[in-house]
Amino acid sequence: MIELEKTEEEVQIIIARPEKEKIEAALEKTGMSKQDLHCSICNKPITDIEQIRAIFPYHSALICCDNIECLIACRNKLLAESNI
Amino acid sequence: MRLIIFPFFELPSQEVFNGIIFPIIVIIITAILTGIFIFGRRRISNWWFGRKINPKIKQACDTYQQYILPEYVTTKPKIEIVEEKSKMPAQIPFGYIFIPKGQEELIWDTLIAYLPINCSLKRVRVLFDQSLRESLFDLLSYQLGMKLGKDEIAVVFRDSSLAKHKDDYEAMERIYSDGKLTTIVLMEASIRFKRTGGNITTSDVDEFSRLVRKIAMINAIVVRIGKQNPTSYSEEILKSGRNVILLARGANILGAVDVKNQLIEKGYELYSPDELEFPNPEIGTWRFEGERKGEKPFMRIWLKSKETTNGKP
Repeated sequence: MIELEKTEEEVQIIIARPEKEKIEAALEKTGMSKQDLHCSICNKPITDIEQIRAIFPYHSALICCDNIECLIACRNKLLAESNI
Repeated sequence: MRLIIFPFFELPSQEVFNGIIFPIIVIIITAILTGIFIFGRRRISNWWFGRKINPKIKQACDTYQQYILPEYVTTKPKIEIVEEKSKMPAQIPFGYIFIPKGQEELIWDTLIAYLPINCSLKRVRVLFDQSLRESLFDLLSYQLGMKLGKDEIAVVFRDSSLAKHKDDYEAMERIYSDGKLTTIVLMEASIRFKRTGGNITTSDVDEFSRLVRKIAMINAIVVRIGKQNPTSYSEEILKSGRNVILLARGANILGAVDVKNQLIEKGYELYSPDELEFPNPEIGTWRFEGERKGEKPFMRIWLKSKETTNGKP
């Protein structure tokens, strides 16, 4: 175990069903538009809310669709924003 | 038939029961069941959702901590299953994950992608350049996916990484499979992080990333020296014929020196500090956390077999 890692804080992840009111609440908190939803990675329009896999409000506020490649790219963007 | 129990109380006749009371009982039971269905359906459904998701989260966290990156899982994400909009947290979380009803298996790819970055290496990761950093976490996700038996998800991480930065992924793969990730690379990262006081410059990143790529190029296995007879270690290493990095902590350092001497007698030689760009042997302090909290001196000795042509960095 390395010494400097011990001060790390845990991050909070919310898991929910993709229901309209929950997605709207998540978007509201981040100040993101509820209209014209699209994946931040592949730009695919999200017409069915079940296609939303994740919302990362941290820093650049990413919306990620259900494509695993987009999940990986989203993770890489978060990694690039360093100390998450 | 009339059944008299008390003088003032009589059970109704069969005719009255069949004609009036029985329909009323049926109506009441139907109303109760309808109420449970309408008002409790959502609660039951949400309870069922949590019941399906929670074991998967636990399994993924435990597997990562126990098998993929032991000693370096420094925190666990606080994962909350939110059933009602009103229970959404007031503060902004790291992320929201949405799993459609009946498709709870979809949680696996998200856990495999995000657990490694949320559980481990939060500070020292900044020492790796972007390509190495992504390769490192792709590899950890791949390993986690395979260990969880989710091979089809795991290979997406590997293939995606190979397509993007093949050399660095292969470097991290070699480092991981030779056991050099935790014993050398991350240890070195923590030392450098401490030395810089957390103020990592681009020069630090360039220099450390170059070192990581060099460590990957050195075809050596890590052997932890414990309480066994030193001869048993040296015999095993000689049998493998590979270059070796001896790692010992505390009282086992003396054993490592014995193994080194035996190997040198049999044709091994020390890597020069010029080849490695750091001292050989390396001596430092290993810090334990948790139940074993404390400090112990450690020593790493890099040895190359003269017979191995790829012993040069």
